[in-house]
Amino acid sequence: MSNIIEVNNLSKQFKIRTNKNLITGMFDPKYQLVEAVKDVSFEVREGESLAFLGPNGAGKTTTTKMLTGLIYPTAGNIKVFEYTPFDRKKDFLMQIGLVMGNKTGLSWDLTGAQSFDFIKKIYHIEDSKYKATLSNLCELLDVNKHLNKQIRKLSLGERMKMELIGAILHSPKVLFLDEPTIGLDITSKKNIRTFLREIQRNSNITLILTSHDMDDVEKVCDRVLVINKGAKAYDDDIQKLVDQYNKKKFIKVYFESLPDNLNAYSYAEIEKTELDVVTFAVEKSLVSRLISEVVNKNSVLDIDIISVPLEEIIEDIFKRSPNVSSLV
Amino acid sequence: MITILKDRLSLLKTNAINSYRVQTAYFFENWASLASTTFYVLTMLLFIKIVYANVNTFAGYKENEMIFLILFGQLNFYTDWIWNSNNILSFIESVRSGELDLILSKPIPSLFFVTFRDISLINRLKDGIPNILLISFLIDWKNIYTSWDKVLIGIFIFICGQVSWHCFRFLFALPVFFIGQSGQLFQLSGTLAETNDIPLEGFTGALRTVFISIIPSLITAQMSVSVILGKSNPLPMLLIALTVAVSFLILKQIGWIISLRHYSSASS
Repeated sequence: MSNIIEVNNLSKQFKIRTNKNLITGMFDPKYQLVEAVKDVSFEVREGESLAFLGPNGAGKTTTTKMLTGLIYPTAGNIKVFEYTPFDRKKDFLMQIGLVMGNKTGLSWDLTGAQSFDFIKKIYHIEDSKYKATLSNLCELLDVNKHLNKQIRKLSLGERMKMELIGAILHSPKVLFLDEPTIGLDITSKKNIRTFLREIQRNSNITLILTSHDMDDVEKVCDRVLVINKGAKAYDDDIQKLVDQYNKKKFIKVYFESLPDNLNAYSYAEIEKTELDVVTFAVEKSLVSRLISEVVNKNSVLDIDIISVPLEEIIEDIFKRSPNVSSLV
Repeated sequence: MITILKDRLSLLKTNAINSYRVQTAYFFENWASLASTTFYVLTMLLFIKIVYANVNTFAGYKENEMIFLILFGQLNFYTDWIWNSNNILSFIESVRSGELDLILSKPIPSLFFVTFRDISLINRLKDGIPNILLISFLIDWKNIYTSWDKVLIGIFIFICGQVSWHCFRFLFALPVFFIGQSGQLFQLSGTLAETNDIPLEGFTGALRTVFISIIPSLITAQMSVSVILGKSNPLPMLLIALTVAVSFLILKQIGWIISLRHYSSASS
């Protein structure tokens, strides 16, 4: 598939006023330059679902805002379907959708139906297509009963569903999502993730997700781009990342009583011993051999097989960056 | 060109409908503003009565002409209220809250949209019509000496004045892009219009130049009335009003482009 987004050496600096004194600040304001994004390059293929990950202030939202043309970069180039986003050409804006978990794009005082009617007009959506898409989206997200309620009277989860409908009613080619599940309960999060995955697969929408929630990333995206301190720290397939980290598995064995022959398993490392519980670290291919030998030779109460959770993998990347070369 | 005009008219219509829906969502709240504006008009009319009990003319205006000026002052106030102040205030708030992000990401002319986002037509007409009718009844129309050409030019000057005044106040709102707030600056720009009840003829020399060109507060009501009542030469006034309006429109456009370049968008 062709590239839909191409980003080359993208940087963004913000000027922050440091002298906030009421009198001296007027004559000598003093500024500090903060590098929010540093020399980031990447491409996104059509139909891909990519997650930007990073700690607070890492530069992921700034990158999304530059991709959508909201803010100007200090240096570098961006092309989104051959358009430069900050030119804000109508044809470009017609093809993107933006959802921000902390901001509302729908009028608080209007109902969902009234807001969607407005969206229909500005995107020139044909009446029959509008009705069909709206009905389909409302059914998928189960919000039919809320369509005629004022937006401000909806719960956060219901509002976010409405925001999602508003952002994809015009069938955009790229959907940018900035923390779409922030503050939502588990059920709402799950519904939204399932919905996003479904529209991405069925409608071939390219998804660009920014989130702190690893479950969002795991359930919705195929590829992850980790940004830390403004720089790219990792960019590859999410499964590949998990596999790289999970070359080793952790086997937690609950013995009836601690055996003396622990050194008999030379191919496994002992990570931790706690009373009668021993945690071994072993190559993925040797897991069954270890379990079988341990069980045959000892009296075992229980066994846990532990993989490294994505959250810990990402945390490890944060700790290691910006030494990108030393990463997995 | 026709497509652009059609798009903008359609946006205008949609905004007016949405504004109406928002206003009618809070029914009882609406009547408080009518009470407030009526009280202001009554106070103003009482003030005129007291002044003209002691003098025959004020800045060359007889009592009847002064009430006519108040009528235009009120028309100016309601026109401004229908689209100008509300929209600039909500624009400032949308930059501060980052809601502007969701406007800029839509395929609409963003400057046009923030300028005409809220068109409180029904509400303001409901507030304005009773007061305007009240003032109109107090005017002795037989003693207003004018002609159709003067009235037409006066109306055109009124529109130019509204455009200039809007752009002037909008420029005061733009620092929100740079410093994160411009509410007080916007209030300051409003205070500069407190010249509204003094006739154009009350301003002379540099003062008149300043309040027509740099702070364009005298164009909408005072200049229009002066032309309609035959106190000023219509064509030079029309030319001045038009030049000021076009200059301020250009300044607004430049200010907007520069400001967007500096938009950092509120954090999420």
